[in-house]
Amino acid sequence: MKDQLEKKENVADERKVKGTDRRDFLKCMAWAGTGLAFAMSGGLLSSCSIENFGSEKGTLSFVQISDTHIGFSKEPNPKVVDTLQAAIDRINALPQRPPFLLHTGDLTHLSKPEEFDTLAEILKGVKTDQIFFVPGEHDTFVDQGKQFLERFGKGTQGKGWQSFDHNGTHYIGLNNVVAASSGPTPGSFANGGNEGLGSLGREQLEWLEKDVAGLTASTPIVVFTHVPLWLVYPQWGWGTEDSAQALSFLKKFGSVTVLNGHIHQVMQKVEGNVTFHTARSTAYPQPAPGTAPSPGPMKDVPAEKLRSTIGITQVRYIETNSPLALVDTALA
Amino acid sequence: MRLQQKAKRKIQLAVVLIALGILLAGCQTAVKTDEHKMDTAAPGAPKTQPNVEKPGENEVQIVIENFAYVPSEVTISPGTKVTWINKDEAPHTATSVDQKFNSGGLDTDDKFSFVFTEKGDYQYFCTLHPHMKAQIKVK
Repeated sequence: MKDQLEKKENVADERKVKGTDRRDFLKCMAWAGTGLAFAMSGGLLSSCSIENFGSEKGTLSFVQISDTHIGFSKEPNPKVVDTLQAAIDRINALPQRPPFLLHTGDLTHLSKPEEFDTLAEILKGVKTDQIFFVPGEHDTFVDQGKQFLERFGKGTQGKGWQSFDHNGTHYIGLNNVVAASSGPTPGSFANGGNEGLGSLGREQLEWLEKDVAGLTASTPIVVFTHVPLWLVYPQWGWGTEDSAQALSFLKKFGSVTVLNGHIHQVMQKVEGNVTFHTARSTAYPQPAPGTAPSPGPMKDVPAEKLRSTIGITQVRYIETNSPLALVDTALA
Repeated sequence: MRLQQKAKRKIQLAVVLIALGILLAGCQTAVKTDEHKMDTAAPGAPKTQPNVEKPGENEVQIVIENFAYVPSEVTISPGTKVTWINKDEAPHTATSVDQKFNSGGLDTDDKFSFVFTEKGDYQYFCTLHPHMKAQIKVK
């Protein structure tokens, strides 16, 4: 029995290592009392301490938050509003004010109007110019994202995709929780659900191809979306089935950073010029792939440990040819 | 002889229930049918799936746990009320592929009931976790 348990743990460890690929990123440091920092870079990153990230090493490009799940009220976090507020306090305390925020989906837990209200109200407290959103399946499963688009989809196209430029970097927000009806899994979109979870759909792919067609190969690209664009763990639906086509349009670019949420844990992978990164939730952690019977919330996390399992991601642009530097900051 | 009469009565009862079902088609929940015994336990009747029905009742419960519908395939008679209860920490839905029923979001311990009046195979899934799939067979 004991042997079996130990074996299980080893398997989990192996997965973790595979998921992050040690050759391609620098696991930087853990700083006392404040959780883990990862810095990932094909180039060199001279320091990973939080002090440096807040100051001269590169320019703070933006901050990513994800999976705020407003409306969740169970273990391990009955107070998701409080932890989101703690994340915002963290952002507002950064030495550099982020020009904008990216929210990579699952704003709410059950798509209730009052949950969207609460989120909108709390985010008013962020010291930044603008917040860009992509939906998660929790924001679209009731009405295919109608409410989400009306309230948080300003300036987006189709079912909520968008792109913009900032300081020479091209940002692309993709919706991979409600595929276009012409997408690969048609059939039941009319009932309000999102059978397209984990797919981009043909309409969006066509838009993406056109969107990047005129860009020079040296333009840094940041893609933000909810579900990972790589196959993290298909058994739990952690992947995007038609992501290969999307990535084929991005092949020519020297630096592509793909940010997502959905799996409530930090995971990284580098493939050629593409860096994949999943952010923590600000609400609750989910288990590492295959380490639990289901991907539900890790309800047994002790209260005093919760804040080390949730947090935010800072993204910094380093003035070299290296990819963007990513720093995940837990709330405690 | 007696058996035949009994079977006849059951056929009549089923017809009445179907008619009742058609009348109530717009009303998804709160249709109580438990005072009638359906023919599932009748001698000679074809056996249904094991452990999916409580004999002598017109109700079936499907538990959603560990991101699965248990049981994942249920065979029922027309007029049976199916109730889904979510025992997971994560919310789920029970959504018919062909738009026949949709529970909407079921949080932990939330229930949703639907009375199946028409024969057929009903595929359904969770719109939050589309890999969760199951079906109801109404015979």
